This record gives sequence, structure tokens and C-alpha cells, in this order.
Amino acid sequence: VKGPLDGIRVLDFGIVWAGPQATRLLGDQGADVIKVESARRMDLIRGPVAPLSGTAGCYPDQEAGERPWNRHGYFIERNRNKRSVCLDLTMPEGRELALRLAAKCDLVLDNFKAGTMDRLGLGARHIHAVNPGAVVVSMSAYGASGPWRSYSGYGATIDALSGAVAATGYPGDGQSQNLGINSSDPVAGQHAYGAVLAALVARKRDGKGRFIDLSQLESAVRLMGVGLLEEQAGLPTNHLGNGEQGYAYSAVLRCEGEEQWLAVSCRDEAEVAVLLDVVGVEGLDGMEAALTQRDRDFVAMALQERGVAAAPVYAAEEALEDEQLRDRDFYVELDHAEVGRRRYLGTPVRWQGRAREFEYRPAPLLGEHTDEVLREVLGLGDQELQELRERGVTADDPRAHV
Amino acid sequence: MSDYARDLRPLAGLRVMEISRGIAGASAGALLRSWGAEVVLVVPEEGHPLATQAPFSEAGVSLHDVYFNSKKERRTVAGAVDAALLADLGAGVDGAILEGDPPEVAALAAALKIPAVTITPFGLLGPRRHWKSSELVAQAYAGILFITGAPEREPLRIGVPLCEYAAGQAAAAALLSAVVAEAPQYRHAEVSVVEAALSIMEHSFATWEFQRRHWPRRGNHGTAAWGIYPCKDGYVGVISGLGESWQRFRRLIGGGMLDEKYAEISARGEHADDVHAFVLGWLAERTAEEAFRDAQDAGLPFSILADAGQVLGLDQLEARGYFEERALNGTVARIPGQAAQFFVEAGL
Repeated sequence: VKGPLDGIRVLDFGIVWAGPQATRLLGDQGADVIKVESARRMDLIRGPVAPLSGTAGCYPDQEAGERPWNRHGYFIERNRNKRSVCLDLTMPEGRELALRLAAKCDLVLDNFKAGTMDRLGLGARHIHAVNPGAVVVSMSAYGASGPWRSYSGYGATIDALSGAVAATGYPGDGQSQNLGINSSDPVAGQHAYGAVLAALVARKRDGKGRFIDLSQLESAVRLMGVGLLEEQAGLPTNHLGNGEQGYAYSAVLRCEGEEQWLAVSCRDEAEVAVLLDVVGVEGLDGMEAALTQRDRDFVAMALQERGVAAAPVYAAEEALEDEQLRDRDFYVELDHAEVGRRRYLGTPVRWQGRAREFEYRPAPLLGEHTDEVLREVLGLGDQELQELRERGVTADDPRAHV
Repeated sequence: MSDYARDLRPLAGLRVMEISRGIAGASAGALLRSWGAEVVLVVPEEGHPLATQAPFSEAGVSLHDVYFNSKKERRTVAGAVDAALLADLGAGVDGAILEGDPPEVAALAAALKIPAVTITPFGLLGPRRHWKSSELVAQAYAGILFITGAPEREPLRIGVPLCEYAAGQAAAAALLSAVVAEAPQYRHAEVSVVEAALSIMEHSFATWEFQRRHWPRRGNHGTAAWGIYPCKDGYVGVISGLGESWQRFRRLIGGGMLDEKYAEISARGEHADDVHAFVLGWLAERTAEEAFRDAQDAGLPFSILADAGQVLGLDQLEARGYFEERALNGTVARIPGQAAQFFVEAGL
């Protein structure tokens, strides 16, 4: 048994981040995720077929290599535990094969613009006609109805529209600040992960499939619930910077060394007193200057030992070496045929203390599992597979389409 | 979707007990409730911890409590929840959300024979399992804080509870996984807020791991044609997009952008100052609304930088019936509702 979702099969049309995040989470929990792409139209996050240089994407050691589409770090981070099938969906045979696969899956997911799957003959109606028990998820930017249903969005622009960027900024300057991560993408992916499971629970109860119309904007706005209430209550919605509501004092403070910062949150005056004591100053006025002479990690540790929430402000390379996360085996090391052995972020759910339920597989090469999946799921034979390849239905070299 | 009927409660019949103390646990329960589960919120006699957290309404009600805990069935208990009380609380429920410090929630989970998910700041085990946290501290530990804010200033907290909410999402999904699996080895799940936050990270980690390059804070537009730009009456989120989208972007901006020098998307890096200037020039003649509409009509995913008031006024959210209503200060306020609309084929 590979995890709680062992036995659940997913047909994944996800691209870039939001969709692939959802299906990565499902794959981490044991679902069999079949990622559908085509040589003509790969997942965009694989990068260009022929990048001008190795700096044009997240390639290992800035070397794009002969097959850059198999070497992009963002694609590889988001697509582990998946099998890749290449089908040319511009060809009727490609679409027919996709529908036949959908007939054998528990879940079909995309994050295209609303209506795209319908135009391909792969929308909820088409899938439910051949597989009434399927859970079909469309996670478009703004949802499948309403005046913006045909509009497109990326994580960064949905962050801006959701109110999260407007809520982020340094006090006093009136300037909102972009979020360091395009959080709307993974937040929507996580939302879809939960929604899919809700539909599977419902199917278990009543035997019915579901269509889920998930709006990435709406999942992002759920983070703004308190902010929306503040606005309606007539309360000020000024930028708090690193201040936190309900805390006596919270801040990000410079420590000794370049880009060494400490985050600290004191719930009450007693905790502020602990902070002053640890830093060795009389009042908050002298603290910032004193901290520039202190070691960040030492102060964080000293505060935590006395029950005050504090932490080093980690850069990614520091978080990768953190003792708590390493002790818990959070990061995953995977061997990939094109990029070698590297570390990846772990999964957020563990069972009985185990970081993983099975040996993870790295992200697939483009079309790596086409024949394997068509043989296993649809029962195609060697001759049929050969003919599909000759007609270009399952071609997996994108250079032919540049 | 004329041949489909809306299913407002896909989790109808599922009853979940929630012992929470912060946004992570409360948002997990709220998410399940939004999908139709009945959530029994266990409240200490002194009140739920979120009920004491600012901001407050005129009547002194915590807006956190209004948003995260309304429409849950409250069960007030005296004293700490021990095994006997837990057995009583757990009778008739299908799953439990247990948020708190590691030893306490581990003991509660161990006493339960139903699906349960524990939520702790740093995990049930490990040398820092006893560490205290806050949203600020979690963003710091997960590498989010370091890359948010202006390069010349201190790292900046994202102004929404991203880490705690991500943990709540993961916990809700984990609990539902246990219900689906119905297997003893998948009965008890564990979510740490910091690990949930890390699992939504990416660029800075992949860039380090693949290229040994440090990802700095980039402010509002570290790369050209990607970020927050000023326009005539406010700010706009600009994305040139990938692939063929780059050519649409060039045609939209027009003028100098049509020069062959900018034909490849790599021009964003190689001629960043030029691209930046072209975008600023185009936006200087447009309001945020005009820029948004013009770009979307050209197939480009621009957006408005909306504040809370503007979010409440978005036509799209109104048209989809997104908001739920709650009583606030003697009137009716709107809060985010279901982000995932479920439909069932009408004939089934």
C-alpha cells in the first residue's frame, strides 16, 4: 500500500503550478497520477524547447542541455510521483485516447482557462458520459461562470486581485509590497487537494461523481476573511509591516552579519521583558543597536528556551540545513535521469510520524510513460502503440514543433 | 451547467470534532464546514483562544472568531480535555482536528479510534518540537519572510496568515484522506505549520538546489514585465506570461516593444530596463481598470491591485454568489464562502 490514496487514479492536465501542486499532493499520498502533455504543447513550466541560454530558466548549474524540457527545476519540483503521457490533443485520435483514459480514472483535473476542456471534448459532460463516477475538477483563474470566466490569471496577479498584496507593506509609506511567493498558485492547489477528497468522501456515500468548479481567485480571497471584516467594520486597514494583531511586540530585527535577521513575537509584556533580558538592554529603544552585535541563532534559541516565539529568518539554503527539518526527514532526495540527485521540498502530511509512505519517484521525462500507461490502462498492444507513434499522436520530441 | 445541480454540502453527514487554538486548526474546521460537514468546536470555559484575538467589532467580538468559528456547533468544556472527556466528545463524530502543543495533541490522538489529524507548530517530534511559533515566526522559518519586501529593507511579513492557513488546508485534506482510506495505518495524520508552509514554497529552494544561487528579496518587480506596476490611478499586477504569451504582450504594449531586439522572452532579463520603461509608459496612460480589461482582452493575465474594499466590490465574486453573510455591528457583513463549487449530474 503506497499511502491512503493508493488505488485512486488521476488524469492530470495541470500546467505551471496550481494544478500540478494539487496533483503532486495527491501523488505524495499514493494516488497514481498520469500527467497528460503533448510534444506540441508541453506544460509551460518545462520552459522553452530551445532556450537562448542556461540562465533562461532554472536549469542545473545553468546548463540547459540537449533536452531542456526535462531539466527545468520548477517542473521537476512540482511533478514528482507522476507518470507522463504524451498525446497530441489537436488530433482526434489524441483526444479519443484522453477520453478513454478519463473513463478509467477516479479524477480528472485541469487548470486551463474555463471552457478549454469542453472545447477539446474533455469537459465534465464528456467525461461523465463515459465515467459517471469521476470527479472532474476545473481550477480556472476566476471560475467557470461570471463575467470573467474567460479571463486568465497567474499566481502573482491573483495575489494582487485577492487583497493579499494590498495587505502587505511597511508601515507608513503607503506602498504595498508584492508577495515573495506567488501564493495563490499553491493555495489553490491545496484547496483543490481538499476539494477532491471531499468529493471522494461524497462519492463513497452516494456513489456519484462530481464536477468541481474551483476559482483560484476565490481560494486566495479566503485568506482575506478577517481583512474583509475589518473593512466592513470600519476599522483601519493600514499596513502592519511585521507587527501582528494581538501581540504586545513583534518585529524582524537585524543581527550580526550580512542579511542575518531575527523574527520575534511577544504575546505580552512579560515576554517583552524576556526579550530585553536576553538581548541585555533596558528598553526597546536600545534593542535594535544591541542586536546588531548578537548572533541570530543564539538569540532565537535563547528566546525559545524561555518560551518566546522567535526564529532565524531563513534563506532557502539555510532552511535546507535546518536541524529540525533534517531530523524529521522533511526534504526528499531524488535521482533524476537528466539532473542527477537533488533535494526537494517534502509533503505536508505524514502518517504515524513517517515522512513518506513509499519510495518517491522523480518527475517524469516528457512522454516517459506513454507506452506503459496506454498498455496498462487501455490494453493497447505493440502494433497499436507503434502506429500511434508513427502518426504523431504520441510523439514526445518537442523539437519537431518548434 | 444546466444538466448539473449544485451540491452545497458534499460533506453532509460528516461530523468532525475540532479542538483548536489558532488559525491553523480553526481554518481546517472552517474549510470542512464550508463543504457541509458538521463541526463541533470544543471551547474552554474561558473562551476559544481566537475569541480573544484582535481585531474586535464594536461589541467586542473578535473578527477572527466571526470568520473562522461561526456556524460551528460549540461545546463548552470545563478544564483540560482528558481521555474520559475526549471519549465523551468523540462519541458520534467521524474525525477530529487536534491543534496544540506536541505532547498534549499526541496524547489526545492516541486516545482516539477515529480518524484524527494533529496540528503543531514544528511537528510532534524533532529537537525543536517544543518551539513556540506565530505567523511571523512560521514565515521566517519557512523562508517566506526572507524573500518578501524591498531589497534595501528588512524582510517583510506577508499580510495574510499564509502559513497557518496552509496548515489548515493540509489538515482538512489529511482528515478526509483518512476517511477515504478507512485503514488503521492511515487513521492518524500529522501536520506541522512550518512544513505545510515549506510545501508551498519553491523558487528560492529550487534555484539554490539546482544552481546554488541565492534568491534575494526583489521588491515589487525584480524581473521586468512581472510584478506590481503603477498606473494612472493605482497599481496593476503585470505578467507577460510564458510561451506565445510573450508575443501577445509585445503587441499589447506596442511601440518600441515590437523591435526584434525584444522578440524572445529572454529580453525580460537581457533588456530589463527597456522593457520596464515600455510597460511604465503604457500604464501611465491607463487606469487600473482599463489596463486590466485591455490586457485580458488581449489574452494576458493582468490584474488590479485590489484592497479589501475593492475585493468586496468585484463583479466576478458577486456574480458567482461567493460571499456568505454574518452579523456584525448590527448589520450584515460578507465573508468569503466556498471557493470550490460542487455539482452533481441532475439525472443521477
